[in-house]
Amino acid sequence: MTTIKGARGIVQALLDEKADTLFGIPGGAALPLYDEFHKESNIKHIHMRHEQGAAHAAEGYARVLGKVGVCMGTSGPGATNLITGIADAFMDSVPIVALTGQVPTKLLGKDAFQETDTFGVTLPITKHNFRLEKPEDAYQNTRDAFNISLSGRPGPVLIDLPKDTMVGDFELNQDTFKYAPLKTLPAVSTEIFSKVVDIIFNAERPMILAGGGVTIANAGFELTKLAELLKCYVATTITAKGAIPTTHPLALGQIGMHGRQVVNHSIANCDVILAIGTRFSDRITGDISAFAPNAKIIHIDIDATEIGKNVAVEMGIVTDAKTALQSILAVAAEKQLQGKENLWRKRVKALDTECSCNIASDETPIRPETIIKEINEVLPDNAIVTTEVGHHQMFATHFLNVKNPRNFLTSAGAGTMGFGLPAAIGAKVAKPDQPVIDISGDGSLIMVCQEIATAVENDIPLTIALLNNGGYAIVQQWQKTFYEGRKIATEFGKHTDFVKLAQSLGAEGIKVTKTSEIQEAMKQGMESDKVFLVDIATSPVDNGIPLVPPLGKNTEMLLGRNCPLVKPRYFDGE
Amino acid sequence: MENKTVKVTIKDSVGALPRVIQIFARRGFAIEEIHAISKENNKEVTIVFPADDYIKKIVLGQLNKLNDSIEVIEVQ
Repeated sequence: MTTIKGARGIVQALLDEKADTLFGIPGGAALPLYDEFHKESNIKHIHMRHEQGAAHAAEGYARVLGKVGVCMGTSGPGATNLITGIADAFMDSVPIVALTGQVPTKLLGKDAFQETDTFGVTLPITKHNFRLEKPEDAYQNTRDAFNISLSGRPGPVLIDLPKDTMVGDFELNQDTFKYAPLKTLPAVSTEIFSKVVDIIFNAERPMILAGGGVTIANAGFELTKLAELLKCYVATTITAKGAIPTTHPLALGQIGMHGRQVVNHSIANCDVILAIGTRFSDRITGDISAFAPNAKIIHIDIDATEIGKNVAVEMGIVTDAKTALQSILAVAAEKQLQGKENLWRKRVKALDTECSCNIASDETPIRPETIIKEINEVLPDNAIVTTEVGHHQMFATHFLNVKNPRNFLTSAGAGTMGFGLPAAIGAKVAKPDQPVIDISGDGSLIMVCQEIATAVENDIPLTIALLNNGGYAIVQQWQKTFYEGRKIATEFGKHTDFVKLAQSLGAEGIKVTKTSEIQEAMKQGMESDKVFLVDIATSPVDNGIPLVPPLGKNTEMLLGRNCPLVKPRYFDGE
Repeated sequence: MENKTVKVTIKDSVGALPRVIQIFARRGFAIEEIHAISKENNKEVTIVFPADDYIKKIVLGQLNKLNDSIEVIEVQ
């Protein structure tokens, strides 16, 4: 037993949880803990330039490794700046622990300097949160925070740290430490999986819908194996991109609002959906009443509250994606079952070919889909790609080749502009030997451009592929489509010179205006040991991606340029 | 919608009651009556709320999901 300060108890808990990196910014109320980091060489502190960046960097680290990312800010604005990243992690089930400084306990509620009710503000956007009441809780609560964050369906946990709880002493006895008990899921019986196997192998028109839960459970291998055994096409949500390699012949691609026509029509016409680790958000289903009207849905999710939340299901199974897929594969092997080629599979294949978009072009300004195609040509298999949010993101989710799970990081549920650059920093810290690329838009990048300085200062080499269209193109597409083309606040009147901006922050950069220059510029970036910006001029308004109007029917897409119209009736009947 | 009654036992830590209430607030679900008592180291919270089957399912599920909730019982 040793007597230590609360702040040291937190650091000891971080060490015992094998946390090696913390992304943060100090401030008055955070200093007792920061002073302990000064004395602790086994935890690397990455000094971010904005707390939103700290939270996203922790997310990037966590999304790549599947372990808890840690971020920190001071009280008041330091904590509120973290909020966007915490909310983002909550929406996409990312395990992060956020530490926030707080005014001393005796000043709580006195409107003290930099006092915000961080605990209250973060209640609805955390999986759980703590406010330390006494130094004795520091070690226990911090370790519990890690345990809660990573268990079951992962999510963010926040610990608010009143200054007095960090400076007060307590007796630490690590030998008697135990996590506070967590709820456990009952095991699912083999009979249940046997029933699932009977349904999917007897289905005439089966589809698999994979969500982020497959990525989180590291079940990409099992997903691919089941798809091959069942000879079944796999639709993916954007958080599942890479769970089955996008180049796999059974990987049909993205579902929903900006999905592929073949996916939306296949889902509308299939008779069984095996949905794994997805929450059927509005971006996936569109008009619920028209979603998969002919299908029995088998929904597997680790979170019981997701079953039946958004769509009615035939069967709900509460377990993690890996356990479920392994069990299904085991039963199928025992029954010696295999999917059969039939008319349905041929039709899906034909439709897949028919609706493929032509993304090769040498137009100027360069088309965004062409930029993604050119990036595909030079992207190493082990590259980690992050995106911001907007048009560039949807082009990336639609057209980018991703061969491994956890190699494509994007802000899905929250749709947070400014996610990609700090997430790329976190990803590169987590996987220093893999190239990391942020596919970015100018609207998003300028929201977090200060983090270029973070990457430069910490020698974190990144390539930023900037699809520069001088505005918020996806919002412009909505204005054009739904508001008779009235554009407001979606164009930048004066263009920022992003290369000069990057250079002023210590990075390197070049401008690209021709398709033929993209591959070379990207290679230069990836081979550089610096932060390298490739500023690619692209068309300001380009309805290049198909779109389902909000809450419209998924089968009634407004088509993007150069994406041929496919006929839904092609699918009717057998 | 008919009133339903649920009794939730939750660990008496910082913010136990707000944790319960925000489940209703963020979804626009109403609370007709709420009553909380301390019981050993826990709070026992009884809530009466108008609900159809869907709302009841969401409320019970979310209360069960709370990290600090110990028991959730629908009172007939």
